[in-house]
Amino acid sequence: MVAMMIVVASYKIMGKFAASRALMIGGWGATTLMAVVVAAMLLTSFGG
Amino acid sequence: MTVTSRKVRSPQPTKNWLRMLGPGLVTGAADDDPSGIATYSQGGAQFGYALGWTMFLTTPFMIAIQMVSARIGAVTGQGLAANLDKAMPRSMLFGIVGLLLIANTLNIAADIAAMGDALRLVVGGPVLVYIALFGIGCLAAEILIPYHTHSGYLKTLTLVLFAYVATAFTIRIPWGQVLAATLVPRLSWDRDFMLMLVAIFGTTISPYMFFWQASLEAEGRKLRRKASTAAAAAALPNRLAGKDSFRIGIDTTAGMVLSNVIAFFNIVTTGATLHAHGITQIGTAQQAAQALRPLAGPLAFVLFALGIVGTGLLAVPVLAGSAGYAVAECFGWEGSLELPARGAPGFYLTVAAATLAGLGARAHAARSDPHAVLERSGQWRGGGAVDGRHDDRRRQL
Repeated sequence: MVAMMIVVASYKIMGKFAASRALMIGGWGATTLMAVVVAAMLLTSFGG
Repeated sequence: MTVTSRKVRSPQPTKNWLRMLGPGLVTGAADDDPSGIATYSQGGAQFGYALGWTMFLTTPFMIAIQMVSARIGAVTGQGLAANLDKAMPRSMLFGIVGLLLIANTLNIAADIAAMGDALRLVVGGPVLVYIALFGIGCLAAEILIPYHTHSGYLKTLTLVLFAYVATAFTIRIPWGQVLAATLVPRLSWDRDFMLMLVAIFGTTISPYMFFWQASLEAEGRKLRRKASTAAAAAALPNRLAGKDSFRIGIDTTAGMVLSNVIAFFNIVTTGATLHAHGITQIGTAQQAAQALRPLAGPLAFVLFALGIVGTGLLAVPVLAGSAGYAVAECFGWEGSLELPARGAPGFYLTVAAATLAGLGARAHAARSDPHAVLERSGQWRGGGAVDGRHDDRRRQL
């Protein structure tokens, strides 16, 4: 998801169609949510 | 229909809106595959309505991240793996695509198993024959039917999701309690609650959806370019800024909202029946259907079971196709569901391998532990859809 966000923000790859600010906020929000979820999974799996 | 007849007809707004729906709608619907239904059913059975709020929290994030993947495909005319290749070392891309391939294969195994078991529950008969028919049928459809026709079938199949909404209306649901639990989210630090929360988020936002929607947008762009005149092709970049951007927004929003509404109804249905009657552990979607029969009646059972078959038919091509696109782009092979098999052999071999490996894994599991595949699938999918408590589940059912 992080790599996707880097791609969609890249003017080199997306040209003038790089993501808008609103889409970037939503996309990074989703990425952060999943990062928290993965951290929680690791904590619950190995934290006992 | 000729060009002339198309011109003289009056505009049909509903038809135009429906025409906007495509990759986003199918991607969202495929998210409610039998493995997903198992996770949501387990959430409802274990915690009642307490997890309904998660569907409303994840919806805007799902829409945003799927729009990101769709935009990448539509703008570049290439799928996600081809674009990630420009932004990361190849070794990392191979790792990501390898994990996707394993996760999708296990997911296909779990989905085909669920479809076979669900059909057996409704009509009886040999489950392994149903499993083989579903697996081979899905594969044949992907190989033999060109994408522009197949996508129409997949779009129509999304209607089957409403079986889960219909199921909810065959039983009595205390909507006041549902509303209260949804509007006032409950968060417990209990280990089981956290595991289920992780499983639900991991099921709702899944990597194969990113790869699939980006590839379909790229396919759509290729199709439009092929069909358009030179002048229209020259105007394509401007379409991306306006018309296409709007279409992607509508399509993705419709798909993700549908996906989460269905998941919400699934949680509510199992909460009102299984949880309310003390059945708090289930392992698979078909077990949920089976447990519903004495509690909610034969109609709810049949709707739920046929919903599993329909969503499986929708999800298996998506899972196999997304793996095929990712692997083909990774190795620079020609890859398109629009091409005949001889035009993209590597791509179709990957699609076939993922589907047949899924079939094989299910056949192996039938001889050992039928719950193992689903469990592994959930863990790979991004959060352990079903954690290691299947022995308890079997006891309780």
